[in-house]
Amino acid sequence: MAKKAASKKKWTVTDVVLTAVCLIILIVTVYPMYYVLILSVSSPEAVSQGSILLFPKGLYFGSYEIILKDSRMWRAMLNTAFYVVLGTLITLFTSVTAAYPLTRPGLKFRRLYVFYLLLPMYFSGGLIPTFLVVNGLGLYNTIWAVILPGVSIMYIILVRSYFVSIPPSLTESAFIDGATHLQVLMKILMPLSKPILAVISIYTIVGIWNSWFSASIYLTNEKLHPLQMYLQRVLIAQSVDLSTVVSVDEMRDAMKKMLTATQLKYSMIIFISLPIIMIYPMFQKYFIKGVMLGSLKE
Amino acid sequence: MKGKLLRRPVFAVLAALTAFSMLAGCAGNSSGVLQQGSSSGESSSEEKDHTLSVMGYDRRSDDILISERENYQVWQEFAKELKDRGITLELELIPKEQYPTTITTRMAASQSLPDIVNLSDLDDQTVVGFGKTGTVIDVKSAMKQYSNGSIQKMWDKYWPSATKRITTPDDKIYWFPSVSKGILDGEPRKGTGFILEIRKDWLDKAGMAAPTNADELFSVLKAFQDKDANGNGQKDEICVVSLESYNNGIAQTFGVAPKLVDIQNNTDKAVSPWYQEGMKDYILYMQKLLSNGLIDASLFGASDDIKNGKISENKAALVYDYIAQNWLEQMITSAEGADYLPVYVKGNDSIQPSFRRERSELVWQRFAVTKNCDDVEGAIKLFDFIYSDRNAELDFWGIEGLTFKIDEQGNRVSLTIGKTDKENAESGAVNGDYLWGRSLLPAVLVQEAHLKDWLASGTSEAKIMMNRQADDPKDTLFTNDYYTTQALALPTDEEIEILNQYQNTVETYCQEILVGLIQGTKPLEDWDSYIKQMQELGLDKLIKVYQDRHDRYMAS
Repeated sequence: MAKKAASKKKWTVTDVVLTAVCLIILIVTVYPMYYVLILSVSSPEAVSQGSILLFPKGLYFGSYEIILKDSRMWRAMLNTAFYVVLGTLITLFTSVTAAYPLTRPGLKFRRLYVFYLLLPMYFSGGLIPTFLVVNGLGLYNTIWAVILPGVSIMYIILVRSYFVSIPPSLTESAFIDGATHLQVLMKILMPLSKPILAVISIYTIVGIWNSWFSASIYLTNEKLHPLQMYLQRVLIAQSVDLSTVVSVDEMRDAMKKMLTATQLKYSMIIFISLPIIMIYPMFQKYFIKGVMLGSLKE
Repeated sequence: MKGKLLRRPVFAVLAALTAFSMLAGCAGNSSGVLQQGSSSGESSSEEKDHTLSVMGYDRRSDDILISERENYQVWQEFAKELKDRGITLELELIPKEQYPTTITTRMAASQSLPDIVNLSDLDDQTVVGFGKTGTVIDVKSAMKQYSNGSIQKMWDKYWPSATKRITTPDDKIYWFPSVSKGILDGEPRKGTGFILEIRKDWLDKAGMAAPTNADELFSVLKAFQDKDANGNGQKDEICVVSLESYNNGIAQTFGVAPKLVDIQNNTDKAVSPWYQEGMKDYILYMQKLLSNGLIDASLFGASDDIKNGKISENKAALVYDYIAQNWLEQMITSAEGADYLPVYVKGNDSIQPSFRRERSELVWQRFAVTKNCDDVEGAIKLFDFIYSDRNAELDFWGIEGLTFKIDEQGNRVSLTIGKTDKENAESGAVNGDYLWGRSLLPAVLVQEAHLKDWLASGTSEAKIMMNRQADDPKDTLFTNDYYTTQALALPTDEEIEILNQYQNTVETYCQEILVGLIQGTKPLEDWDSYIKQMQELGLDKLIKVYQDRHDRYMAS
């Protein structure tokens, strides 16, 4: 009876307007990605002429073939996968181990520690001081220059907030039974914290996957470059500022670069975005549950 | 119990490590991963070895990688020449696309710098600033102390303007430039330049002659649209030129200077288009083109990618490029027989068209010796070789029998013209300009060319011959010229302050007015008020700065 009533619900003006607005937002959000997708499978001539709008013209998968055969791309992808795994593990480790002591009632100078953690969230040293620290620690041109600076204080705060939301009676009873802090953390808090850990993991994975700035500053060795650096290099290699050209030879080189493989960059964008697009649904249930978890109080 | 006893020491160690890591960042110029300038120099003996660290791009061409330099005979010769002089290079190769970011950060942090660094991605003022702070050294005094005279001799012989262009007002030189000089059939070249080019195949199809004045140009462009020259049924044959700039070929037909402030070569005067006689006529002409649909309004401020798209779409009736260009036609893949013809058009009978010329004698790029170089003597010795006839031959010509040959008249003739970089890489026929020149060390290019080679290159004869004419020091047509690289001495501190204070504002306002006038949103009748506003914003001050810099350049 209730179902029949629901199915017969009439559309009001508000419903129509809201649906229309949502459709517009959907199109505006999805179309750019769709546009890149159809360019990536269209013929290079049609792409350079700019004549593609809704459907691909002249199906062409040659660019994907070039990408799949490019060993530099695979090396960059392996590098990125390695940075993602290692970076995520380090982020989870530091977030959990830093957050747990902050939840213990007997911790001395807790306010000082929290202040020490919060201050960099408001004031950053900037690029040059950070470069000096990274270089001074001997991390320049190593993988640690892109992994370690990615650890975020915000995640410590998130985990701490989540730990606080877990009923303290659980941990108190464990201590009474003789459990150590490590046992409480590993056997009680961690299993209950899967949603927040999933949230932090997905944020970290996406962040490291998409990052290129750290690599562009600290990694001059091409063999260590992540995928986004590879993409950036291909894109920059094809777009040249003609106003900086000072000779006929340089103009000839510049025009050659702009003409070759114009369509390749679109194929690259799709190929590089695919892994993240595939991973997101796996974390979605945790993401939806966990994104607001930091704000819950007991 | 044992766990509790261990807790405090463990936490104390962790806290100490945290504090230590904070202090580590305060360490001075450190041993990081990067090598410091690892030069050796124990005595001033002639026989001592010099090891110099050099940082630059990893390639100039995608097919010829500097990391594979040992595969090329020209590098082997270059390394041998250096070895004979006791010089060894340690190279730090940075991917070219990443280089601007890397060099900006490293120079700003002033840490882990090599002995010699390519600073071409930074502008003159920035490098001079590094010189004043001591991050890069004054090479003029180093040359006086260590050079065998080869550098100055080479500059004086081929590039007398080199010293003028790179010497600061306080008589210092903070970098070594790349240098290039064109010689055609044994005679110095004046330099090629930019000109309007029109679709010759469309002219032939329409049965029309090449235009020589503004009215004929308009008629031809209109006819292209009316007769549907590109055959797609639409009136979309347009001028694909920069619409918001003074440098688009059409402005030059009215004698307008290509930049907001430019140096007129034949009068040695700093001028601005806004004070020039043909500027109003140019704006009226552009209004006419726009109102007749011969200009696409969407191309105002468009990027080069978008403009190139119009060319690829076979819609560009008129373009503005190097006279002897042969790359635009390759972009038009949807039509056969596309051909651009250079045209010399007079916008106004009483005004000679201006010509934007690239100097045959080029002095550009910057390669500096940094403060980390412990072996300045070795660095100068290296540059003494770089600016020598032997290196000039390796750099431009390469290896006899591989990249060039000597013909019956005793002239050097290139064997690589017409071949792609990939083909040359596979055959090993590579010259130094692809390996160390422009990337790691200054390019030294004495470009001897021959007209018969140009004619055999595949570029149309019309382009070659007009190029030859413009290049000829005796030519009388292309005399109202403006160089792409202006003849200016480096600015003084006061001039830098004026440029920083006024340049951006004036440029922005002037461009806004120019676009508004062409589009018709700003009335031409208010011309005087616009000029007055430009003067209030500092246009005349900028002109004076350029004039003073040019005067100093000419006097030195």
